Amino acid sequence: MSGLVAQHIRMEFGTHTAVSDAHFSVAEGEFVTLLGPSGCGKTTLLKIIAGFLAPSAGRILMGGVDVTDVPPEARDTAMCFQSYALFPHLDVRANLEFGLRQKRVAHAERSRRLDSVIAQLELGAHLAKLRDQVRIEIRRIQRTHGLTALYVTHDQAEALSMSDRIFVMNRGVIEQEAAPEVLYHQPRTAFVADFIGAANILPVLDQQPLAEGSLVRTPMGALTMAGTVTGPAIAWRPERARILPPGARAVNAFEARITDRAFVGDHIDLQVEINGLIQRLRLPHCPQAVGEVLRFALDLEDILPLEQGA
Amino acid sequence: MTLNRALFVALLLIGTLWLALPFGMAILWSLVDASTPWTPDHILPPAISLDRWRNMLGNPVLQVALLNSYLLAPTAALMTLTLTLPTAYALGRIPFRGREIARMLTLLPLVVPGFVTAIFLTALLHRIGFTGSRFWAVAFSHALLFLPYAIRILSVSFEQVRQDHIDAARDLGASPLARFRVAWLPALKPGLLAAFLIVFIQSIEEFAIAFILGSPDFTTIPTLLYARLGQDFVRPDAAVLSLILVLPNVILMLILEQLLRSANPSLSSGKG
Amino acid sequence: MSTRAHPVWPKLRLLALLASGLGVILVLIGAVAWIALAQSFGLHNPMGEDRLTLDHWEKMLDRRLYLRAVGYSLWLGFAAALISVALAYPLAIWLRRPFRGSALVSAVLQAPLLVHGLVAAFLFVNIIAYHGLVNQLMVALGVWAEPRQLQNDRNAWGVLILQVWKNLPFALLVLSGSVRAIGDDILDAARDLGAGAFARFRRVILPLSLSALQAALTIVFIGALADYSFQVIAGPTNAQSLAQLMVFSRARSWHEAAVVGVTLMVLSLLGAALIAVLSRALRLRGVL
Repeated sequence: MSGLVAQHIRMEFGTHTAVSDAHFSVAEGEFVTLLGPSGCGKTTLLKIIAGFLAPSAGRILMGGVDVTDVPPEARDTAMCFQSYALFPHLDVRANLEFGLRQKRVAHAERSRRLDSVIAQLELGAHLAKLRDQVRIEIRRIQRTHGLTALYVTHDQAEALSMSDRIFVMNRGVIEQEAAPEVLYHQPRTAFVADFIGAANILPVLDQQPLAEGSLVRTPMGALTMAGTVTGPAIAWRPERARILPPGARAVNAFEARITDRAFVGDHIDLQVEINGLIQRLRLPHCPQAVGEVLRFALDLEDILPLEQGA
Repeated sequence: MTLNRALFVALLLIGTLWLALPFGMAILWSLVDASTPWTPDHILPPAISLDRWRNMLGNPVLQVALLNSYLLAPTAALMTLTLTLPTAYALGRIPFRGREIARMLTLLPLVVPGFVTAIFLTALLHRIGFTGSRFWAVAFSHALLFLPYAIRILSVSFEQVRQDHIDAARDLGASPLARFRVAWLPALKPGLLAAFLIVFIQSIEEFAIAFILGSPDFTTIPTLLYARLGQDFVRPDAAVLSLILVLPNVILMLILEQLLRSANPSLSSGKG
Repeated sequence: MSTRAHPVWPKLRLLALLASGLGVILVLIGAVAWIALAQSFGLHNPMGEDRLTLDHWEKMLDRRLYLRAVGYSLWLGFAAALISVALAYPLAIWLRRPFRGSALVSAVLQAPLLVHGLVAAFLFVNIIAYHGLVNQLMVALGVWAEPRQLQNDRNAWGVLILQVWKNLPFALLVLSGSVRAIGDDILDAARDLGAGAFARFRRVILPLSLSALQAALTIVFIGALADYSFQVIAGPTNAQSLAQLMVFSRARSWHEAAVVGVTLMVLSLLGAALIAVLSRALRLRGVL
């Protein structure tokens, strides 16, 4: 398929809304991932795009042509099923040939293509492929042939490593569409902040403008941040905490008592109590044990403003 | 959507034609009062009563047939289970070369046409002198004929007995009897019940052997119905007999369906 | 394990276990087949002396009654199998995925499985009787001037209707199981690759349910080939089915009944083999 446009797609099953107002476009040759927890509507959206479901409202355009009413067999899409959906009654070659035959590719051309693919497969069979390598291979093929790709997963590492852009979905709504790094550094909603990486999310009780940035009051205490927050909450990432040496002073400095400590190899996951609130910390080193107190600070830029989500 | 709707309505109509109508007619005929015959100029029977039912149920011929059928069925079912258990155990739990062929061969009684089995099994039983008691001869023949069902169901049940349950019971020091009760019986029970019931139902319905081996003096409900459909045809009586044959079996079949579902999901859905 | 030292014991144990069920089946069904075969060649005479002879076969093969019964039963067997399966296949595909009301449709369609053959025959005869519902309706509608003789019709439509009524649910049961086992993903993948409804049937559903199709055809064929009850109650009076002929002949001669019995077994096997060969050919050539 060439470029893809989804216009105000809505999907209802009885009283349940699986997708509400998905509105986006995917450029030709772009790799976009639909990311979200199970039941968020990402597979429904993919099925609508492939043509297996007719949306309750909205249109799908491929290469500028409205294909909303075109059945899947007549759409120029190639779906990779999670179950692989290999035809059990056909061998490898016949499985590969199925689509070419349906698309009425001439016999000689069919054989030529199959021979070349099977030669590559035989070559590849000698290298035990890990899932990571399969991922890289998919990406390589997609780039080489300039294919427009829509990938569905609930695995954020997979999504972050493969995509040009990621659409994060929650309860039928695309909460944010952005490049992987933007998603991590500038999550739009609490859901995105929590789903991509880990985040401590705090409701904003009150805020005052400062000469530079603003001061927000939260249950954890007052925080100074670079910009302003328009939504109901802010977030900060556990790995952004900077340990303060004893006696050192800093903006956004906090005392935290360790309530749980888990060593996981390259870092240590801590649960800490700050002003009666349990928060998460991720530190490269931590000499303190459970029950002891440590001090840390957060930079102004590490306080992330959030908007209201779904 | 609309196509499905139309098909659905059409099928319900056909369903009515192919179930409700035939049975409705049978029920009406069974209620025709003996005093006023149901003549073609009446859409419904002119007089309705339960006389036919009372007469038939009070008829010693039917009582004997009912007794025969309902004694025959559990006897055949128990015989079948006895013959089945060792073989089902072997087919379900001992891997051996040719097991699939052995499983196929157990289906033989179902492949040979019913009347061929009936006639030449009768010849065989005559030859070896096993005809002293019609009842036992027919019961044994039924047990043979319906072995395939029981073997099929129970070998799957035996397969489903989990080795880790048996091992866990042993590990905890259970005696053989306790092991059987805790590890084997729960997995086998639905299969045993289902096998018993399926042979029971099949035996009640079986006609060829009961007709050939049993005739003339040993009657079951199907052979009685056959006679009443032939030389002694009285429509209301035949209607009563038909319903007597069908109703209990429908109920038993519905129970069986539930049992099969728990004993062996792949069987009730018709797979494999 | 103590048994490992004596490799012969597990084998004996296995044989002993198999003897109870499989052994009884093999011995008795084997004996049934053997007696039928032997009697058809004049042996095992229950009335007199054994004499190995082809006489009974020659006599039967010469008789028009026998030849007509062979033709008639074969026709019934194949017609019942083909019609039942042809009707059941689309229904099985339609009912592949559950929808509102599909359980009810299945239940209605499969209900005849619970109805005894003799009862079915009675119900049917009851409706097409001279003063039955069909005749009354046709006369009332003015289509027919007077009631017609529908029971025991010469073309055996009655028997065929009964066979389909009784066997369609069975074919549906067998086919549904295998059609339902085909995953949605497989069919969606075929669609995504451009296969339309017919291509999906021909290239995915048919090959994946071929063994169920073969089983359904074979079982319905054998059942209808060897039918006795439907034929006796609802069949044409001018034709006899093989089972009917066999029961009828037995009164006169066990040997002649045996010839018919062997014929029935051989035709069952041949029919099953033919269906197997055809589905194999379909698997190898027609599909891919």
